Amino acid sequence: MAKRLPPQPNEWINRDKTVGFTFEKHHYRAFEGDVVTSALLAADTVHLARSFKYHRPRGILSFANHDANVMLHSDDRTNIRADIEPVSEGASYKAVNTIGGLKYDITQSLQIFSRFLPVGFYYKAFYRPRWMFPYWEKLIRNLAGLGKINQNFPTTRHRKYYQAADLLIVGGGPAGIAAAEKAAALGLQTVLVEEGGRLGGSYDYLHADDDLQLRKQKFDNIQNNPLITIHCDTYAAGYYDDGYIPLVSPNKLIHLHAGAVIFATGLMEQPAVFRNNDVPGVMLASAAQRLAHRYAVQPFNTGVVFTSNAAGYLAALDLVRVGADIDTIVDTGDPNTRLSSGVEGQKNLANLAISAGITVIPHSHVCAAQAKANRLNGITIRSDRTNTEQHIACDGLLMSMGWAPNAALLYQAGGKLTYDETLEQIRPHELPAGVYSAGRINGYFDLADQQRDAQAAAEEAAIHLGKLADQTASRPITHRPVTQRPAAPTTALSHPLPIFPHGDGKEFIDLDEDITIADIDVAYREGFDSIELMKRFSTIGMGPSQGKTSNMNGVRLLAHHRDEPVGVIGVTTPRPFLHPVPMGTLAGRRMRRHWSTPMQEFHDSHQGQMMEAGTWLRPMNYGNYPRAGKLQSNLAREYEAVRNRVGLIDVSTLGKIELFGPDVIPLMEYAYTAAFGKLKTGMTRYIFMVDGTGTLTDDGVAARFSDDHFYITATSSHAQAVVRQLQLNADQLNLNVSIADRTFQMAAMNLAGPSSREVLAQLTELDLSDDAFPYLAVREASVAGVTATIMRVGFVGELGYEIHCPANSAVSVWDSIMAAGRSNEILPFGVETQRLLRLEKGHLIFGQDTDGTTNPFEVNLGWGVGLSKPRFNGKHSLAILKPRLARKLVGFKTTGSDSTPIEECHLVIANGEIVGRVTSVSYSPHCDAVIGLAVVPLELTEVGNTIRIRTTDGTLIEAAVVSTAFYDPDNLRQKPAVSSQEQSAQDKSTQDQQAQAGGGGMSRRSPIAEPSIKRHAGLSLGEVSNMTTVATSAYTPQQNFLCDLSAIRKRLVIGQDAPRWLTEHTGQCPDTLFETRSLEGGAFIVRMHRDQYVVVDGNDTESYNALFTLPTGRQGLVLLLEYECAEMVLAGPNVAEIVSELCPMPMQDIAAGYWCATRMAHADVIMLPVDSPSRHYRILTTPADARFVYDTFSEAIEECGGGQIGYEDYWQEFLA
Amino acid sequence: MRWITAPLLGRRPVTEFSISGILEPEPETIDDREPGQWVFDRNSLPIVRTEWWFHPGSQFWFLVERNTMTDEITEVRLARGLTTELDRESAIEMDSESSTKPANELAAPAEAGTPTAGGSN
Repeated sequence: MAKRLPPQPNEWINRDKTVGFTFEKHHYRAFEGDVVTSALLAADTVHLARSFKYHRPRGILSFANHDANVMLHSDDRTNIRADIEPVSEGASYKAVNTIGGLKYDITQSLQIFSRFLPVGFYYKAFYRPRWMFPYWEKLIRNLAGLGKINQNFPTTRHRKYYQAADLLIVGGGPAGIAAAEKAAALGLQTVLVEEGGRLGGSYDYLHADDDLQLRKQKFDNIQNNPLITIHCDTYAAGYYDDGYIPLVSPNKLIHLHAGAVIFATGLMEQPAVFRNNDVPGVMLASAAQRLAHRYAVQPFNTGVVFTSNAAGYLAALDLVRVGADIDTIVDTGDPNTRLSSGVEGQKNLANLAISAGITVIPHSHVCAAQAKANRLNGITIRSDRTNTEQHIACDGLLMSMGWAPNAALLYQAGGKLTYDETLEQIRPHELPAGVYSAGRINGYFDLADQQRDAQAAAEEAAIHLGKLADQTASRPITHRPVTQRPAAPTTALSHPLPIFPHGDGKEFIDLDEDITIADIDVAYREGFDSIELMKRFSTIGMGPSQGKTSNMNGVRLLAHHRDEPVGVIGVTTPRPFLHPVPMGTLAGRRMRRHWSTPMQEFHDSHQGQMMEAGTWLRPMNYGNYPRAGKLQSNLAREYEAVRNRVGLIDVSTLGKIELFGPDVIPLMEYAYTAAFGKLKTGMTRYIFMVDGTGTLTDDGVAARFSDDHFYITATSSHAQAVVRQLQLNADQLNLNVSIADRTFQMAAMNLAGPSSREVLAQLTELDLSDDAFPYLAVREASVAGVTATIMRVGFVGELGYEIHCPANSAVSVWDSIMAAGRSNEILPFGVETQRLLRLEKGHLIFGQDTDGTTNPFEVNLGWGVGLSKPRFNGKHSLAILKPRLARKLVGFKTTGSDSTPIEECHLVIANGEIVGRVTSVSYSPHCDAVIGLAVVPLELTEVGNTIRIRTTDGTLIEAAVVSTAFYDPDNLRQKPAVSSQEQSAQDKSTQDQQAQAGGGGMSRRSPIAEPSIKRHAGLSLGEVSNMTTVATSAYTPQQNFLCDLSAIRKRLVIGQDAPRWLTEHTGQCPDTLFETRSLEGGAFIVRMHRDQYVVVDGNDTESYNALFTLPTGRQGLVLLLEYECAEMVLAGPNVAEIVSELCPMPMQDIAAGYWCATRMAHADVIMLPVDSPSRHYRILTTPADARFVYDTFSEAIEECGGGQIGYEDYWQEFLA
Repeated sequence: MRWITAPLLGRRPVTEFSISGILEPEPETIDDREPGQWVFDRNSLPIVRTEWWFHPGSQFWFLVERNTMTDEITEVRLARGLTTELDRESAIEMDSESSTKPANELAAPAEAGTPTAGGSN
């Protein structure tokens, strides 16, 4: 009869408060602080689970989460380990893996067939005939499995944090505590994690008679030490590179980066193996001790201790002392050798046991256990001397057979452990730098030894971290601590082979997977005689507890079979995680970012059908018109508008790069294939780059402003790669060029169509006549009051202007163009429409018409390869590839029906072989046919040839090879001449209309502003000065808040002369990277890169100095540009926590006054700690990332308590 | 997670970097070599090699000496220093072909996190 003991000095339960819960439909009452297992045992429920394979009754084993015997599921959770699950009022649990309940599980009949289900049975039995396998699989899946998942699980937020510490100590037992004390004394920032609910570890049960007053003092000391952070109920789940260790607790995960780690993880007691060693009531001696001391539960009425060492006697005596009834000790050896090693000297433990009324039976082992009503009711022991058997009635058998190290993470850290023949135990032998082990894991069983060992480990860690001078540095041995490690232990406390086979079998070596001695024997006989192979064949150690109580016995048994020392066998590698980690814990906060362009609100409000283009969101087309005719209606409307009138497309996703410096041309010549000698100032040209193999990687347009100033575009989603490549080439060749990635700072739109000139003329004073602004020219001019770069382009095959302008002003330009085009019936058009328009022109889309093997000659771009240049990236490969051209991109046109079944990537077939593929295809209104581009072998490229395309349903469709210029082959529409007479007439109307279109007023907008987001102050940058003060009470310095600060203007100053220029204009220039220099009025300058500086204005209402009144553009040898970004302030008491959740970079490393360009919530951000230690950051991010970052912060802030505040409030409070 | 201590940046998570292998600019002439050898031949033996690592946040390329067997990083240096008056003078003296060496060691970049002067609001 299991029962509750009288109050224990260290007990974890609160006897003043009871909690009710349900297990298997029975109601139980427990004390607050109980775990499910202790509560059930206290109520004399010892049959707690069914085993995985044979559904045998099971009870507790280790009561330390080293076994997975007792697994539960509740309505909303599964994989609950009862040994560590705290009881809560109203909770309801069921045992996993039963049919018909725990008690009458009908599948228990499976064990009748166990003789016919040897290890490997499934591999051998079910693979033939193959058609039967689905049936078997279904049957087996129904019988196996652990727990049921409720798919309507409640969603809860699990949080993940990044943290850093000097030292991590894993294990809060005597060694861990001693190490933490010492480490803190040496000044190390220390994190101590303890898997159990409280500090103490083996203190609780192995040293229960210790001086409790002194111990409490010790615990208080480390708990109150500011250098020590203690996490209980938390385990180190794995060890990764560079001391990165995930710490898992019930509702959060900490990514900890530790400079050094001490593993004071202790030992795991190992079971004996004998017949029916799994019946409820057979448990580890330490399990009974933990139950008795922590939960005051005696899990049996009459107990027998089965031991081979002094520890078993100590456990028996300890249990007797707390009031448990230990009847007998069965000793495998000579009891008179069982001596204690305490300070009072060695004592004969057998004599103590006998005088405590315990019968000691020497030289015997338990050979079988008997069960009645699913619980232990007796054991059979056999004397090794007389070979006689004896029956002992008991309902508790406590095994004390020895230990295995709790060393999973030590192995993962690269530690080498060897088998110590003296101790019959595996011990750490060689550890990598910065990784230490201490305490019982090192084989020290004496408390004083454990503590001394831990102190030495802490000193070694301090030396490793450079926090403690090596006291003995003059000696040849480096890194020797002051505290000597204690002398190596010499007493073996583990049995070399605690495995006692029985003629009738059922001796379980792995309780997770129901593996018996017979199974291991079969595996060995079949040739799986290495431990790694044996593990995989027999599945020993592969269950939910990952072999914590089975691997050691498996190794011992294999060594026995091979007749070799245990040390030769080795062990299997324990992989992360230490325990199963819930998916929700790993997932953390959802952080999937999208980039949106400044025109996102327009797209949203005009039913833009958004699609993902890399990280970008782009509209395919607008509206939701039903399909009518040969083209989708949206597409047809937009197509028709561009071809006949005028359309506007948002191309802000294009990469945009400013190149400035004396070596611009050498850089362009090297990075791109084209020769730039003929490119005149004020003109653009098409450019593309290849890699070393000659494969096309990117294309764009290069605009030459001057010999030392180019502005180039790159394909969407590839801009960062191009910047990287250009910077690489500049660094490799030591070229003096400033490369500024303006992709996010600039928005771009393409105004295209026959009326585009007429529309644009209303918004700019620029002379748009062909003479003044010819095809392919580039001009800088004010458009709708915003300084813009305009390029005449022809991507869609009509007269067109690509207008680039600062991102935060782009919406006003866009809106002005839409307004100006109203009389021309302008329509916005999307990516899908643009694809069709350019297809009719035969223009390429990189990544669609090219792939990772395409070279320029294959796609008719040979004209852009300047092989006569002395040198460029990919030249040698291109020179080799040119004469070996084998395939080519051609145009094709089908006759026949309009609704084509041809899709992109359909195959071109010739003589039954695959010879090419379709890269683009669409119905063309201009040709009134299906047209497309396809890659075909050279012999098929001649115009007029017929190619066959295999469609999805396998039919072959014939198509004629045609020129890729389906539409306007002479490019007349891209450069229509406008007579000067017409132009002057236009000019006049322009003057009139400009006033109406409101072209003069420039309006900047915060990229964060978005109506769908609830906030206290919706900020439009144009309105800052007359903005009403909102929600002044929304924050106090004690509250968290978020504020949109994008109104503050910034200027980018680039060029080799920037330092001199800045000093001249502001009197300041930062020296080193990310350093800030204050200017008056809260303005400052920061060095962003080699020769790129950002000047941040102090106050947007009154520009700080002449810098912000200067026009952007060239100022002598520097380039002054609008630096467009989103800026926000994150401040308050929980900010450090929020930042540590979203950003891996430890912010304490950044000094006040420095910017830190890093990643936060997976987005690129620049953080400026305003104070230190920082609870106040100014954070810059790109306009494209702004919404995502702001929303993520808003969410985090709301979870911590806090909100968003208005710009003016913040300004008055902090910046004034 | 690995942590890299780089000049100017201080200690940074490895996830901030984009990592390339050995990169060389294409030589002007490729003589006496099989076509494709320069492009495709790479030594995959475990060696200590100098790799090019890019830090997008600061737009700096770093040269990282790494042991490909032990994954140990022995040195991190800027591919090219900050351009100051001093840098440019030394850069001019550099042979532009020997590009795997840093353009200058003279920049003596201060470790991030040690404010030298000034401050902020």
